[in-house]
Amino acid sequence: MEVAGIIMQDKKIIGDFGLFTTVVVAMVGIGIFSCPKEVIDKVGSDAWIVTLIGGIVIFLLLYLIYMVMKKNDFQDLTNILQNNFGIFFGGIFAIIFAIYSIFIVSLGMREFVEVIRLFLLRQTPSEFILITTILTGTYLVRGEIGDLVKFNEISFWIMFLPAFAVFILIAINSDFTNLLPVLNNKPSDYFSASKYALFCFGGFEIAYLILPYVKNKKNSSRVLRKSIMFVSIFYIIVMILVLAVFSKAQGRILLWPTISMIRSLYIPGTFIERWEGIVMALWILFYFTTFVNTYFFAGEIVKNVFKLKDIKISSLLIMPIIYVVALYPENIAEVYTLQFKTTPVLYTAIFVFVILPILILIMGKDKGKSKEKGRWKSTDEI
Amino acid sequence: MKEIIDDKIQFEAEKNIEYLKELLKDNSDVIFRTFNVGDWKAAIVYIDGMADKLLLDHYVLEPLMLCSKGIEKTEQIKDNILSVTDMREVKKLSEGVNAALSGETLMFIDELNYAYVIATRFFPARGVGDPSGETVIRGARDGFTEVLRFNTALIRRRIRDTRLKVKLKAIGARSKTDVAIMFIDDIVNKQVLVELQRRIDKINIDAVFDSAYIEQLIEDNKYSPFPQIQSTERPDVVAAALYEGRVALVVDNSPFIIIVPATLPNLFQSPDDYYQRWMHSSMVRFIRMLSILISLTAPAFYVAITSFQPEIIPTKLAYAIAASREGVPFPAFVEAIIMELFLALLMEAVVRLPRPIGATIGIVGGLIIGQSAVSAGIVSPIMIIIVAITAITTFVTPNYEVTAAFRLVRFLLIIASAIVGLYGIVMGLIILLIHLVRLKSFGIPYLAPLVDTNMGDLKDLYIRAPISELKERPKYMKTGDKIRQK
Repeated sequence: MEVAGIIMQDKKIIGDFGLFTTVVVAMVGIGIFSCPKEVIDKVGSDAWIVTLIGGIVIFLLLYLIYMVMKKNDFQDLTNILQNNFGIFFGGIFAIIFAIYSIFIVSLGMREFVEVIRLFLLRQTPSEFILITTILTGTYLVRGEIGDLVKFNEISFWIMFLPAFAVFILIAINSDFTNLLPVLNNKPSDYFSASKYALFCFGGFEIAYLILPYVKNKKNSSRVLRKSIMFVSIFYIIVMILVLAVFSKAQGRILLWPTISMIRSLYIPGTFIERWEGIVMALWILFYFTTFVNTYFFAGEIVKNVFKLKDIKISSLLIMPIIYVVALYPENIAEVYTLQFKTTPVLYTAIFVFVILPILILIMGKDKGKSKEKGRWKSTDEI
Repeated sequence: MKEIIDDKIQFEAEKNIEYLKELLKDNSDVIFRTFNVGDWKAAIVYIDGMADKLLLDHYVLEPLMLCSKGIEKTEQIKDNILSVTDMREVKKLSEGVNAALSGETLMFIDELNYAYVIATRFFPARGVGDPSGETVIRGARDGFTEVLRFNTALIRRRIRDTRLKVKLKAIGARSKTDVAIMFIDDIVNKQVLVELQRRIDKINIDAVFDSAYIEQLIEDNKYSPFPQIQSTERPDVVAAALYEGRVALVVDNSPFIIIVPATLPNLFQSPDDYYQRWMHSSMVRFIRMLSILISLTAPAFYVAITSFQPEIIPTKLAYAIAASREGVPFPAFVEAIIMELFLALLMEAVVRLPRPIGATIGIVGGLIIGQSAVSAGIVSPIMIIIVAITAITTFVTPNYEVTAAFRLVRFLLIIASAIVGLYGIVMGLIILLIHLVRLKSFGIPYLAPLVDTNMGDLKDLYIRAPISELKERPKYMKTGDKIRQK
């Protein structure tokens, strides 16, 4: 008996807190580990300034997304692209978007697998970790967007309450004079470092997915600003703590300085002596949320472009791509090369996040008519 | 499956009786009684043992047979002679037969093309007793019984409001079990009510023995270990739920009333939370949350630490555990599974046995076998501690069905941690979280108000604020009337 099938239609209305947590958990991911090393390598003790600049730039990009959505009446991304560039080119741009997101998140997946293997499961094959993570993600993606947002809301607390507790405990034993001197680098260094800092914030494109479903659209830009501020502060704290604990000389050498920092954590009077295992276990959720949100986003695009029945089919199409891309690099160094130093990837990023939204804003005609048939207008009125 | 009964009621009482005698032949407990009312024939049909014979003798047959003088038309009999309060007319024979089969008395009189149904239900029933499954320190001691009407009365005693509705419906093609849908008209979440009625209408089963049948037929996801509908034997719990805009289903023959929709936090609450002082209740809620976390992860964590990540605990403790496990022939995983299975066995045995023997089993099973297993070197003492902690923390949860669901999840987590250690536990918990997030109960998210949080709802979630602060009904239930107190 199909009882659950015909339940009242979910109105797909997401509150402000849902928007905030979704953007935050989608952005905070694997970057905590990889970014500090690269940024500190370039600018030393000014890493936190670069992060701050990165945050501001990302905020501008996010605001661009907001403008694009607002101008197009908060339709979904595929609709916007196809309305502005025609069915064919719009579809291609949407697919490029999806492929780029999947590519980056798959490289992150590889890094995730390497971290897990190094710190939790030395003998388990990468493939096993990969498959279990992808399948778990698929289970969530097969639900509705409302379920994804609920998952984000709960994950937010599970992630950040312990994280800030850990930060405080680490801060007690660190030396903040390591942050000096300030502004002691060539301007070009800041520029090249900010490239890595920007990658920390990868995942903010989730705004494209989530904004059409938001209930109170007047508040959205304020909520987006808050979430960027939250993420920036989070990363700045990470940078400052890494510098304070290790100083810039040490921070350069370590592969994942954040993890090494957690190793130094010591909480007297507890049952657990070495915390990195526990923190690593908690950290799984940091990556998982980034992964699953991007996965859903890409699935939604593929579904809309190819007019598939639902996201269950498109998620099946994406699954093998993630697997193959994640296994493609030989080692972790190659992952970083692909992520940061491959020009096509960089150009795609610039195209997707800067050129495309600006093009839409410039090209987009006055869509007086489309306001009438706007998809979410009708649901708002219910 | 549906039987066909001739619906037409004849003008002659005799003919109706003949038809019914044919329909109900080979039934020793059906009583047919034909008698004269003045110049007319009349007949009654009832089931022996389910109808009140005294009432029939003194207030139906006696006046009809003795005081029929002055009656000119049979229509007058009802208003002038029959001295019973509760009776009605039925136009369809099938309806009358159903009434007779549920203990009422069916009466035919000549010259009437309808029959009378006299409410004479009177059958052996258990009195109102202690709700043994949900005991409270302070609070009402009455529990539901097997009789639908007693149960609805127990609920109505707590809601003397014209807007309390009790809709009756028969479910089961053969059993025709009465089911009462209860709700408060202006508070209830209308969408839930419509959806519930739709799902009930879809039920097509021959017999319903308990509310558990209905529960399993109308729940959202039958492939979930978690109960998506609350069941209770306490009238105060039902009344409180109705005041929160939920709907109660009272099923005849079942002392368990089911309440929809149910969310996970609902199932973690006990009426005592509201009867005790709020600080104490808030602390108890924290303890419950902590205990469910411990009962879920303790054995899995033990397996992960001993088999995969011994480095995270202090070195001395790791040595102590290793030393205590010396001589134990099994790996930690097998040890954990054996002990958990043993615990499950013990609990199952105690439930099925009479109480005095149950206590013996507890002592023999728990104390003697536990102690001897350690001395014999089959399991390590640490494992015994873990199992004992798990058992105690499991029972802190007030709802047995949720406990059972978490027990199942615990087994799965042990298996996951045996394969990939801490990673397995975390992935298992993430899958659990995804499952719970995707679950819905009649359109209400199962984890509400943990998700879609509204600030007002937080007053009655992790803590229980003083009653004077709980001014609004739960927001996540999307109730009609929103204000509880001014």
